[in-house]
Amino acid sequence: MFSHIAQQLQLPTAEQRQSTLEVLQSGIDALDQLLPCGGFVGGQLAEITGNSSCGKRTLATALCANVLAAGKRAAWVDGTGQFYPLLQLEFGVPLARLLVIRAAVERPSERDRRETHHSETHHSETHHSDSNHSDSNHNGSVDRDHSVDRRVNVQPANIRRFVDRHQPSGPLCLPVLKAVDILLQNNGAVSLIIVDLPPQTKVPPRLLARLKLSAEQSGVAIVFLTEQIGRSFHGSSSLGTFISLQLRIKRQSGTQLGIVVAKSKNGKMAHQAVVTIDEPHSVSLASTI
Amino acid sequence: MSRTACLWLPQFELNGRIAQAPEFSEAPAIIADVSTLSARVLEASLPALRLGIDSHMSMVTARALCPDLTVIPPNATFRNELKQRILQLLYQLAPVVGHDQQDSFFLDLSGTERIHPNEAQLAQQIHRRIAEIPLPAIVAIADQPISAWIAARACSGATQTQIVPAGDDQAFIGKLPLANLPMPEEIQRFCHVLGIASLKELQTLPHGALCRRFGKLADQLERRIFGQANDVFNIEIPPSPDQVSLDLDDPTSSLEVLLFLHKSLLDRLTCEVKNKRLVIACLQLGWQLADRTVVERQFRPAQPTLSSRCLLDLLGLWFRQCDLPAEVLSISLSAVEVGRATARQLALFDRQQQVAEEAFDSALAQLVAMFGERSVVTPELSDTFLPEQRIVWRDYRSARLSTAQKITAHTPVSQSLPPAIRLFDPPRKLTWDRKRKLFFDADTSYHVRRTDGPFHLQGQWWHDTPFNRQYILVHTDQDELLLLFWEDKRWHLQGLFD
Repeated sequence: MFSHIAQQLQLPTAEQRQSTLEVLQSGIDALDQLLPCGGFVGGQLAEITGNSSCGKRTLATALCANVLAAGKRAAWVDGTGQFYPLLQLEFGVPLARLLVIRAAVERPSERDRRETHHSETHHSETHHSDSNHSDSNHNGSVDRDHSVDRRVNVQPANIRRFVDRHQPSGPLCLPVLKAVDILLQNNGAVSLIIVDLPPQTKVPPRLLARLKLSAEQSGVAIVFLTEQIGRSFHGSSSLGTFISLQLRIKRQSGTQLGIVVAKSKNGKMAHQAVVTIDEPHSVSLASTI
Repeated sequence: MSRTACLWLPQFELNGRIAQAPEFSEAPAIIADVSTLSARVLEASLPALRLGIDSHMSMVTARALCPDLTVIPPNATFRNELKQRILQLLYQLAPVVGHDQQDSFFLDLSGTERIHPNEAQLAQQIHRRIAEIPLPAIVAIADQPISAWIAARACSGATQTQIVPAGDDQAFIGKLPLANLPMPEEIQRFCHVLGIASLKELQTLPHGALCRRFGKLADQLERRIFGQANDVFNIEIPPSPDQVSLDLDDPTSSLEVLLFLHKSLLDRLTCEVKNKRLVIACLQLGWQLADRTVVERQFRPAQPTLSSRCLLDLLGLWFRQCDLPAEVLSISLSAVEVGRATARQLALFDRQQQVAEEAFDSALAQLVAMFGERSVVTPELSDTFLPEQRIVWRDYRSARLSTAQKITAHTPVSQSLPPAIRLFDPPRKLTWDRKRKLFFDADTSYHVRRTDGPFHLQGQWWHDTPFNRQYILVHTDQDELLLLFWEDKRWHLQGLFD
């Protein structure tokens, strides 16, 4: 209804306002021809998903290299700690200006250990400060106000862990999203952000909505790399409705990658393409000798 | 036989300025750069010439002859623009056009006999085109450029056209007095001493005599007096308008898609125009449609600009109004009219880059503050053997400071597509199940479908920690590609190709 009114008033719609955004090409002809606008659109969220070892990082690295070669900036937010573009660098792919942020993904067990350590440290400091306080009072030194510490008797066993029933299970990705948010808030810092999420990572929808809004305002293309567990090639996006483009990748042979447009807000739904990559042994491990 | 036309525009810049400001046409005016210590007259108008003021005269003398002289400072920009305008007019008559960097233009008429069979009519065409500016002009046509140049200056009275018959260059030049041919002062004195008064008498000297007497100074002169010099002018190559184009694999008429594509093309075009320190005054859009029709339209911004957003707004306004009969197959954008960019425009264009740099530096500082220096890195190759040590993660700031790596825009990227590796650090230890043909550890198992290799890697034998590995590539039944190595009687998973 509102778009109809906007049209009558000849007001620009959201799509028209976004029309000044740029398109980032991957440099892979088959992939660029497959994509609705010939590339990844700035200001939109895209997802490349597939099983482990399906080739999604290969495509994402090629996209970064093409963006860097065009004189723009690209960032890779590595939530897995496993990003290793060895063959790309050996082959002279220009990744020298690629900004890599190795944001560790915090797991719930690590968070619990952190909280426990914090409470234990706080408790020991409280006891230590109490003894210091009495000593300092006795010695006539400056009296610090420890009234709060005295009232609260912090014990590890008394820590109540609040479970957020709305918090999805799986590893938290807050550091990764925070890194992305920092890049988006500095408008114009980068043109492309690759977000490498570990398997079984769930992104809270509210955070994804905020990222989408920031991406629209800054015109940055964000591409999420997600991993599907199991053989299922068809399924819903793990990142919800905020994704404008979803590509599913499947390795058809050692060097052939099948790409399907599983979701697209700009057309070309269910279009497929095959991309050929180099043989790993043809690039030769012997080059490392 | 080749023919050359020479267009001589006496007092070239001054007449162009007078054409713009006719009030100077009756008053004595000169062009002189009075900012220099020993200023001299560069060009003098007709009233000034009548008063005895001539080129190369000192300003002191010129002011003595005419105290009310109007002095116009030279303007290189105006001169250059006028020159380009004249060249554009002459490009319509001949394929090769040149300029002697002073006041003469040349047209190489070789091969244009069928286009211009009558040289007198060609001369009239040239006069008609120059009259659009307007500038007084004299046209001469001869075999050699120098002959045409001399013939143009030999025109007297009301004659504005001089055509030297083919093959008569030497004879024509011989009839002219010595003053018609510029020559060094030494040679002028030599001719005066010897009593040589015309070019014909100079031609009677033996070939090479002047060269033997005056050396290189006379080499060019000898070639000119015999009509053999053709190095009088520099060929001016017409600047082609900057153009970018794109062929679409899938024809489209979608407004969004078209705007996306035009935005990318405009960014490239403005960058190319900016590199020449120009601005776009008129943008021409060309569409080839699926029904083989061609749509062309020109867009003029309010002011010549380098802003791709401003030009895209103009395009967008027209896109929404136009009714396409078919889908768009190919797009071309060209800057058909350009202007000189002001310093502010160039600074604003560069400012866009500078703002991006400042934003990037700010983001970098925030990321380092949040994650630490060792988490904001860039990959670099190191000269080692082991694959897991080949990449060194260097913190981004020091990497930027130490190496001035500047990748120019549109650097061609290699067409190869090497696979990316997911590296496990430290490598995961796997156990081989020979019966079931799989590798497994506590978390996962990999059923082997095919293997490639082995690739032997051995080194650092002189070290305390030598290595000796056998690498294999494993294709699993789940289409995964693993990189394993055998070391210390154990299989290790180095990484996955992803």
